[in-house]
Amino acid sequence: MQAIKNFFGFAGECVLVFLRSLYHLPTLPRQLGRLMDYCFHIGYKTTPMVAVMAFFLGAVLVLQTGYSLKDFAGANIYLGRISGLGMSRELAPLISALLLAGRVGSSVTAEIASMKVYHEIDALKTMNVPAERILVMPRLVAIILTMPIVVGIAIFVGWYGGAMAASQVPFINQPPEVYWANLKDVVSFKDIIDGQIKGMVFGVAVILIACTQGLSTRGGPREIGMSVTSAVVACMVIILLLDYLLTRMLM
Amino acid sequence: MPKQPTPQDNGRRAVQVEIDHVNKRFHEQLVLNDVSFVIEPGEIFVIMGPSGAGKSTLMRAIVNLESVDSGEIRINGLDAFKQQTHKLMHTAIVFQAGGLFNSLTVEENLAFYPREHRLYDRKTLHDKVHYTLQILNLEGCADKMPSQLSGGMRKRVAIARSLIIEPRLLLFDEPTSELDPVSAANITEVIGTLREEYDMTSIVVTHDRELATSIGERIALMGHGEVVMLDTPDKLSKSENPEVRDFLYPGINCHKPRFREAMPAVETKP
Repeated sequence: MQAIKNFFGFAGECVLVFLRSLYHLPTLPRQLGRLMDYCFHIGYKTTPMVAVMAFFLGAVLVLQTGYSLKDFAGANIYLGRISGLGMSRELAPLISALLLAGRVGSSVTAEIASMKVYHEIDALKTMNVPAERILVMPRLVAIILTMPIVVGIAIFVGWYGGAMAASQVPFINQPPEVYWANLKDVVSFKDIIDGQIKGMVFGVAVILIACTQGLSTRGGPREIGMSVTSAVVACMVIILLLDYLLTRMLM
Repeated sequence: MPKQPTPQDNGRRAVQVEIDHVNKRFHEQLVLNDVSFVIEPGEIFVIMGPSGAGKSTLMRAIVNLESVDSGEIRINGLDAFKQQTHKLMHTAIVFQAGGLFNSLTVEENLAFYPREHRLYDRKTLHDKVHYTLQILNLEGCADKMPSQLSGGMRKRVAIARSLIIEPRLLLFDEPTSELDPVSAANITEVIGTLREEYDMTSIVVTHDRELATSIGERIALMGHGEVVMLDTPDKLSKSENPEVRDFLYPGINCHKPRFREAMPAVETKP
């Protein structure tokens, strides 16, 4: 019962932090430097890792599908279709968000939690500078700007990984032209946009959870560690929950 | 009945702080119990007491970082629980751990508030920051990160950051804690001289008796959420109140019955 109460309490705090951040949106033009900094840390630094993971995920997807279909003559023709839709609608946004939760979510929570514990947030309050204005809102905007790029790169690199696996693995042995032609036949622009929407929603959820968890930290260094763990776990669970809901909505 | 706001300052920058029957509970524990006193403009007022006495909670309430269950705190007659009051009254606080922004340089720390509130143009801000650093003997530290500074220097940077807004009310939370005797003496001297330079009211929260008696014009000794005694350092040190003596001269009150009772009886041979 207490866990349910805590969950709804935390969800309510996330909503409040989100609304307060929206309230401070007009101050964004004065914070362009901060926004660029967050874009760099959230987007640019995450992209190489996301690309590597997406490449191997695309390759493994084709490998496993090819292995399952190898007894069905001619079924390998569907590899491009499966990889195309799977990566764009599901795996690319999901893997980007999970990596974001682990890499960015944890560092954001740790940073804000230590600011809270060492009175930096109190100092901001006494200076009449709300934490949401400089710590949350620019990060939310940064994630909305960078997540489509990160997810887009993940989609294309994942497809390319699939093409490599399809052409290089002996029991699949599918020429790249066939793979790409098959992929183009089935993947529409809407599928890629759906993936971007998912990525953006996941990204906003990760930043909100990470920031709210950081801001609600109380105690000392031990509590900072506990907050980081809680934030990452909460992000993972919420990403998967949102994934199901968004998939149903976008179908 | 709440007083009417009286922002008129009688020609002074320094402000008056009124603590009026303030009560605060954390869960079931009473941390502030009907605390009332008035801090006069320009005074260096010390709130002293053992750990858990409620002094830090009271200080956080004065700067609106903590709410209270009942009672009022007014700064020059204005409600201290409104953020606008602190903006008008130029309230600043120096936290025990400094509260410096660790990701910013010393100069950026000092310039943070004026930049966020667009108080000065670039040149004025630069001059102001460097003048303030000069006052606190921190000229060479402008480009350093807080992590590169000693404890005493961090405290001085925290004081410099609060001076940048030209405070009318400045609060210090345990300003000499975790400092070596030389740095502590330096901070003590700084607190004393700043009042003259800026014409401000200072509230110092501490459990350091030496600091309290050397700079405090009046001292409120707190215990268990209550004000045990409020007077000048001289009168406080001469007080016969057992709680005051217990705090000021620990270990020499063994004649008290409760200590005698707690001690094992010593059998004496005839």
